[in-house]
Amino acid sequence: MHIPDGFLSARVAAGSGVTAGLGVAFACARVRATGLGARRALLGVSAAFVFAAQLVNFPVAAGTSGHLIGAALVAALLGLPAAIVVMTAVLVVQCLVFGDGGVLALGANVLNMALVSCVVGYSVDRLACGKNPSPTRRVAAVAFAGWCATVAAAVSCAEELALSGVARFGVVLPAMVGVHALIGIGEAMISGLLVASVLRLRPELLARASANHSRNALGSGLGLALVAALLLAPFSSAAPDGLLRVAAGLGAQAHASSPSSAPLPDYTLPGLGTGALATVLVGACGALLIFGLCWLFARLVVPRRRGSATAESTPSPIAAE
Amino acid sequence: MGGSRLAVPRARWSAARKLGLTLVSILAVSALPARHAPWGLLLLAVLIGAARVAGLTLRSWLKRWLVALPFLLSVSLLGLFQPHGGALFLAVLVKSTVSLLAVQLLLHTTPASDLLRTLRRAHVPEILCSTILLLQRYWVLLADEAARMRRARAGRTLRSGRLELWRAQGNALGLLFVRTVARAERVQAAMRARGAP
Amino acid sequence: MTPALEVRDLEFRFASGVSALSGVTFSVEPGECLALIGPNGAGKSTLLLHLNGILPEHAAERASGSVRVHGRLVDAGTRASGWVQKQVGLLFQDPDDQLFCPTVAEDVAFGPEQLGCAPAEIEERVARALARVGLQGFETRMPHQLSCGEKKRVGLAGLLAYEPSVLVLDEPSAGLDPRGRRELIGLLAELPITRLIATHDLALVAELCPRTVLLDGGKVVAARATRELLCDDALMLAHGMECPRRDLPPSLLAEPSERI
Repeated sequence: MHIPDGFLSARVAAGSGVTAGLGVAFACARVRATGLGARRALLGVSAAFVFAAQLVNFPVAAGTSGHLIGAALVAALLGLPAAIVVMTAVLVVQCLVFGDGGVLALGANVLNMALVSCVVGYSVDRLACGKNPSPTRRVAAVAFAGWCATVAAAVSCAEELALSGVARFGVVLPAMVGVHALIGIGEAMISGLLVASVLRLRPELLARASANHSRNALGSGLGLALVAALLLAPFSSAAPDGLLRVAAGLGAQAHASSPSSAPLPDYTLPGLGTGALATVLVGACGALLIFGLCWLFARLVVPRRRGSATAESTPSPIAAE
Repeated sequence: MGGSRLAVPRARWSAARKLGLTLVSILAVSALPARHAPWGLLLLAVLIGAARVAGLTLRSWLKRWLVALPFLLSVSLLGLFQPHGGALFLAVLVKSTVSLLAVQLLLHTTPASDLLRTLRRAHVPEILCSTILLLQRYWVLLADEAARMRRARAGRTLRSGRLELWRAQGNALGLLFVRTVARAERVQAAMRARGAP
Repeated sequence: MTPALEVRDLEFRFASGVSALSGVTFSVEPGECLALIGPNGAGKSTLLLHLNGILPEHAAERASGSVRVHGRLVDAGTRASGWVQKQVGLLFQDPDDQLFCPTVAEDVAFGPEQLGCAPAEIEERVARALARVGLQGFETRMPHQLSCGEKKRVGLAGLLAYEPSVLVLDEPSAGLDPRGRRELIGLLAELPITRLIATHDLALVAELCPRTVLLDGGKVVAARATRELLCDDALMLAHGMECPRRDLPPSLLAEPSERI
């Protein structure tokens, strides 16, 4: 999902750059306030791990391939501000050392893969976890959060591309979201597997993260509100457009305005007013389904309580799938 | 990663100047409206010339271009749905190719450490710079630990088969992470023992 | 009789170009306990990694010469099929290079699982192996929480559990406390299988191994009866070894240890 240079208009690149800069600056300030201290090792290894994970490309459908993001996982381990810093560091290194992702597009990429994905991943994880979650719930929560984070980042990316006039929103959004809904499943599995292992081998790593959560609550709530506004804006503007179009009469010609004048390119999907609602409903059902799958996955991955130690290893979900 | 070639005039410029020049090139080509995009080919020619001077082979940046091509094509093809789609498609292709070459040239003539130092001087938050350093330091550790675990498993894999490999991966990933964190903590302790913060 | 292990003219160069082995030739008879001694950097560990098929690992590494296990050549085919690993159990010098499972039980069970044993048999093998190394009750412990000596013993248990026909050990007594060392020596003395032990522990060599190979600079310098080799002061000193005649109790060098 690293957007190369040449795709984004100057306006979008600047706007996303400023937003990303503010978000990252805020996160850095929060981390500095609480201090890195004992978390340096975990921070560094998480960053290295995310970097490695993002190298893994897997084919999704018809020639497209995607890669993992890792935002929800890092947020679960380190809390929100540190997660944002880690993801940004990875993106900066990828851009300036490996040329992966455009230099001017770095702001947009940071916005998508560091800010939007971390905030969504963190918030969904917190919401799904509740207080004192069982291991199964913990794993299911982070798996679902990983899926949501991936899809959210894809929506954000699609918006940037559409706003730049590169592609029509009605085309790029389903494409991006469709592909990343599938990639998100891989992300969910990896995040879940990792948290299950950490819970088993060094549960105190996760406990340390949750101790900071209360302080982050306000910030993440605000962040989530902002992100929600960001992501849902196109839908809210589409609905009245669609309704108006239908209301204008079936005989009226819908005429396409040039990309540069309208804030969003036109939809060709007819009756988008009701269409938007239907999309939201389908999306919600899909999300619930995914959560159910995540729960099942967690049941497979988290070891059952054993009376006597046996030589059996935990059932590997990959073999079971 | 690029290494600096001190014999070449351009490479002797400071990292900040090279970064600035790269940014300007990308900005210039990105700002071109779609119908004027062919002018970007001029910039492309200039960059190709500079690449030859700097020793960046055609093969290496073409390889990079091919890697980026799927994304380039998939998104720019979506542009075809627009009015004047053909021009838009070509414009995006030209702009992204020019930008890619500009960045490749920058990376080829500037060592990573110089670029990161420039970042620091540009008042990028210290926390972010520290995290980048930690990333580089523990990347090596992670790779080493992965190699160890792979070798350990290889020594006791008594039968062939892809299924066995996949079964093992699930558990191994989490263990790799935890082991690397433990090793990293020992490294941090050793550093603290010698006066690091 | 076909030797259990036969190494002929083995040469090995790392990807960096550094030569580790230049023409190593020796063999180990079935049931024999052979010692491999030499200074650090002689190439002992590198040599041992060839016996179990781990090296050569990367395409850039160069190896020539041959390694045969029970007469069968160790090549890409025998390595890929897992046959070599089944025959030759290797105990690494660093236990962190050996253990790769989350719990002790899982690690020890790895070999038997690969053999396709039934769950009940796996459990029994694990219990038996852990008891043999004195770690009964350690099943649910996590290797990264154990001491170095305990980790080494888990590694050994992992090998005993799947009963290879040849045991190759890299510095098995290093890091063990005196009791652990005694138990290790007792255990190794009882095993009927072929054993090759690379070690600096000359007392162990004198007690367990009738024959010794001295390796230095990637070459076999000498391969003789243990007592004869250890008593050759000039040779030992010339290759960075200590002087057993001066440093070991005379009783150790006087009595031949014929127990296999």
